[in-house]
Amino acid sequence: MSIKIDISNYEVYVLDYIDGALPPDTRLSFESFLAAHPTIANEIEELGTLDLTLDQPKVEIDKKALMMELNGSSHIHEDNYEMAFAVEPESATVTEFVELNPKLEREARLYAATRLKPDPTITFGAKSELKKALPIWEGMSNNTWRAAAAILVLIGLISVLNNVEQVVYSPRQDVKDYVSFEDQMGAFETVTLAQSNAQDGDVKSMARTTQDMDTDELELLPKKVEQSTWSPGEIENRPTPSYAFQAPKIIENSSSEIAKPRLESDELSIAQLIGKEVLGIDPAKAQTTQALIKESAKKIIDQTDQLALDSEQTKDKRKIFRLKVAGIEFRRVRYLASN
Amino acid sequence: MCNRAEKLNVKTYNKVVDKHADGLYRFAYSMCKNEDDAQDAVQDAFSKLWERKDQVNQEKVKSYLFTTVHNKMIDLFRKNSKYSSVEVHENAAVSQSISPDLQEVLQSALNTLPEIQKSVILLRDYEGYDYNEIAEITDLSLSQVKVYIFRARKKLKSYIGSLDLVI
Repeated sequence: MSIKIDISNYEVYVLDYIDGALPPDTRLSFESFLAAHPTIANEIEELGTLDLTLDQPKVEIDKKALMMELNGSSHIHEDNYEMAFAVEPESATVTEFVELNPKLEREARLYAATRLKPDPTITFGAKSELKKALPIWEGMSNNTWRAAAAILVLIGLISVLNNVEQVVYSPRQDVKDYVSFEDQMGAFETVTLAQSNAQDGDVKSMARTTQDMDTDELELLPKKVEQSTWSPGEIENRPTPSYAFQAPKIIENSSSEIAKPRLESDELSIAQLIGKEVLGIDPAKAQTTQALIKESAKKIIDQTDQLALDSEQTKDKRKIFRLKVAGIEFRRVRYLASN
Repeated sequence: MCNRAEKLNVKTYNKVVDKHADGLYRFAYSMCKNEDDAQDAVQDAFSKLWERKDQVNQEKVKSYLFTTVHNKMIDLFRKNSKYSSVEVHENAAVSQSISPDLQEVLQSALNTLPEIQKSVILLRDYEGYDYNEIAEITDLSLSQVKVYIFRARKKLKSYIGSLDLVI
């Protein structure tokens, strides 16, 4: 839609018409207006031929007069000093330049003052959300490792010590390969009786009884193993054996040699030999593999910093094992059978 | 390729969080003045770091994090209309009239700068990066970095010079 151009608005379009910048339809409207107003058309024609280029005398500007008179240095001069103030405000060359040109001191100070300082109160509050969970083995200190190792040793040790009381049932046909506490006690009686008989009535030499013997020695007792006469069906329906303690009979005329079968001999068992030569354990304490394991565990633990193992048998028939790890004591109490 | 010993594991990654999370957040917050956007940028940076922990050399971890936050901020300014220069300029003018403290005035003046100038001057002043490191983080040439810092300081200087601050 073309714009209506008349006497009230034609001036708006004059300059664009002269410059040829009017859109075609506006230009057409404007030319229609000029055709209707010849006086105005003449004025515009005169304007279009006007040369606005004036013959002005060339003015020579003394640029040097406008420039600041500065004493430049090797790197900084009047053309780049601002850049130097902004980029390297604390450099020695800037300092030197400012000393040579004291009138630029405020300028240099202002640039130096634009240095932003971080606000330490602005912190990221949710660091824990960013962090990853540590695998347990990465977060443990050496002491924790030691404690964990000691606990493992303790557990192993307890299982070794418990073997005396442990009853293992894994019956196979025709073979009785389990050992119970009662079996051990029965075997003890059998053997001690045999020993006493062999010594031909040496009744005055007092044999030690199971009550006098400590656990280590009990372990040395020969185990009675018999052929099982039970069928598989009987095994399944086998009544649970009673574990009530039966005090052994006091047998006089028995020898204590039974507990130390090899001590009076120059020959050492393989356990005794390993204990003596490798770990420096008294052969009397390492007469069986089990005893060797126990003694070596005790020895290793006792030699380790912040670890200690000891045991104590109290008068009230308790045997107490203590493992101390970094100031923490683990205690296991075994209640010995009493009459 | 980085050595096995230089790769990030959980422990070293968590140490990096402790060491750089605050600085990154300050940088991001100073850029956008918006807590949520700044937190997002920091979380995004650490998330990317963890994803690429096998590729990022431990010595370059800080640069990697700041590069990620810088890029995030530039994207944010370009995509989000709320970060128009008019708005921050008005805010700056308000702050200026409230407090005459130099650092506060500078912070207000900082908001009047284009984002790239803001970023380079923050990396320089907050984190003390040299110009080569800033060029690496912002993916600019060394001379571009210097020019941006020059322009930024010139504006800040004009800003504080026009106030009755004792310099």
